[in-house]
Amino acid sequence: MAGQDVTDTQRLRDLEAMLDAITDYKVIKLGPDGNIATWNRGGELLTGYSAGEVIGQHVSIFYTEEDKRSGLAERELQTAREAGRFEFEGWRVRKDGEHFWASVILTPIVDADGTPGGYVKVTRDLTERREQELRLERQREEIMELSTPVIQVWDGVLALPIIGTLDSVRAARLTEGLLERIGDSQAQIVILDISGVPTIDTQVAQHLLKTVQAATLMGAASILSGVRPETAQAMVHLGIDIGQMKSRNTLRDALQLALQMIHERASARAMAMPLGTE
Amino acid sequence: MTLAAPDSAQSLAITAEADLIGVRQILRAEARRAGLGLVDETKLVTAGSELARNILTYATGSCGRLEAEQVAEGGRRGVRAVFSDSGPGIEDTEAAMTDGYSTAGSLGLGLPGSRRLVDELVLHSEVGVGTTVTIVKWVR
Amino acid sequence: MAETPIVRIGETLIVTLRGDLDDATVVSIEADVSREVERARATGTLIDVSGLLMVDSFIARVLARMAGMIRLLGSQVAVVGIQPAVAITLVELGVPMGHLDTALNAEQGLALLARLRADDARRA
Repeated sequence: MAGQDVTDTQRLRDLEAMLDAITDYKVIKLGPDGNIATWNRGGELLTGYSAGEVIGQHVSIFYTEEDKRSGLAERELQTAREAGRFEFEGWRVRKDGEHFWASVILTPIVDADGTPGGYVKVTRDLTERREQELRLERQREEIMELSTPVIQVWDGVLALPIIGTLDSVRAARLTEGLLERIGDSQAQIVILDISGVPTIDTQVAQHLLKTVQAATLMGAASILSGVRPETAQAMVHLGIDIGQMKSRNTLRDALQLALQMIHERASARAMAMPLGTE
Repeated sequence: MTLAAPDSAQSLAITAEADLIGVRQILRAEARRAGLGLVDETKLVTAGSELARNILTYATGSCGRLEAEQVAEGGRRGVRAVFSDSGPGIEDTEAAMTDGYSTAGSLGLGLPGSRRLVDELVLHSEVGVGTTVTIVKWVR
Repeated sequence: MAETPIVRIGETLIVTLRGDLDDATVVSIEADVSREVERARATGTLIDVSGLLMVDSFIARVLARMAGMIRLLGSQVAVVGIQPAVAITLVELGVPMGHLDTALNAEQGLALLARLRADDARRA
């Protein structure tokens, strides 16, 4: 029997040494209630806590304030219990308060007789990778912005050539950008050129019409340009009505109309001067 | 494990028109804390104003209340606001969420409009018991 | 309750709305405005909402009603200064703004009023 114990103890020590050799990952065991049962070197390097500081504590010690309040840890443990394994990413907090983006695999342990015996939790710091992802996404957004520039084509006339598909996220950004420019440049006329939009469906049309409505509330008249024969057909078939908005085949024609409107407004103002204003 | 949560949930009784100012102030503050941009802040405050006015109009004197707090899920942040009352309740909640629903010649509850201003809107109502509208706006 | 700020430039009035508009305030503003439109024999009125950070359906209805009242009194009317965030929100909210004439600011508003007067005269 003594020989057996020595072998087991040796094996245990070997396992512990193995776990401690893993420094890139936090590999720990949680009790069935979510309390931390074991610790490893990787966990200390990752979170800044020593074994003495965390063993016995609930795993939510690593979570953000809001996540703690919303009981995220409990929900994750439950999901792992039900699904047999749970992989997820999220913000965690180090001992010094610094946030890091963690990749976590949570696996429930079941004892030989089937009773839940806790969990194994493997955590990795993916902050750098996430920052890279966010950088790429920002770059993509900037490229999208560049493909939808608002151009001032004349005093008081803005043109917005829309290129590519228009989802609600892009439409929102487009509208906000346009309205800011209307304010900055005191524009009275906006030309929306859709020759670069591949398909006009009901959703795209709705986005466009909402943009026009908002611009109208800011006092700017809109002219649609670049409507191709296929587009005109599609719009009519879908029952899309642009109402009072004027439409021109080309950007050039739209600009001509815009200049005409600006001119008419200036003359009306000049004529009316003696009547009502100072 | 359990922490004394810092007082983050804001609460306000909605009983009179003057309370609308408080509703807007609370929602603005929460929006800024979450980091919502100006457009999203305006949408949230406007939706809140609509819902608060509903309580004043249709559930006068019925324990109208606003509870607003920060929310975080996955990696994103946002604001959750719950408007509740123990008023007459809405009989047909489905119709109330459809454009065009209106009672007594007014614009009705404006719920579809408010729905469009936020990311999530959940309506619970029971006739004779009361109504709860929960809205969530996430930081884009 | 402070008096409604109404500035008069010849036959044009500029009414500035700001702060929190409740039922009582609205009634008093409407009274002030109608009185001034009549007193100045105004032919054009601008309602400046650039100070409103939020316009919900109630305030939108107030604006439409006030514009209607001003028109009945014989004056052209335009709303000026709707902020971008407010414009986007109003459109999303889906409140019918009626046939409210709008302009970016007071300067463009004055030009718009002139156009509206000219159109009106032409049609008469």
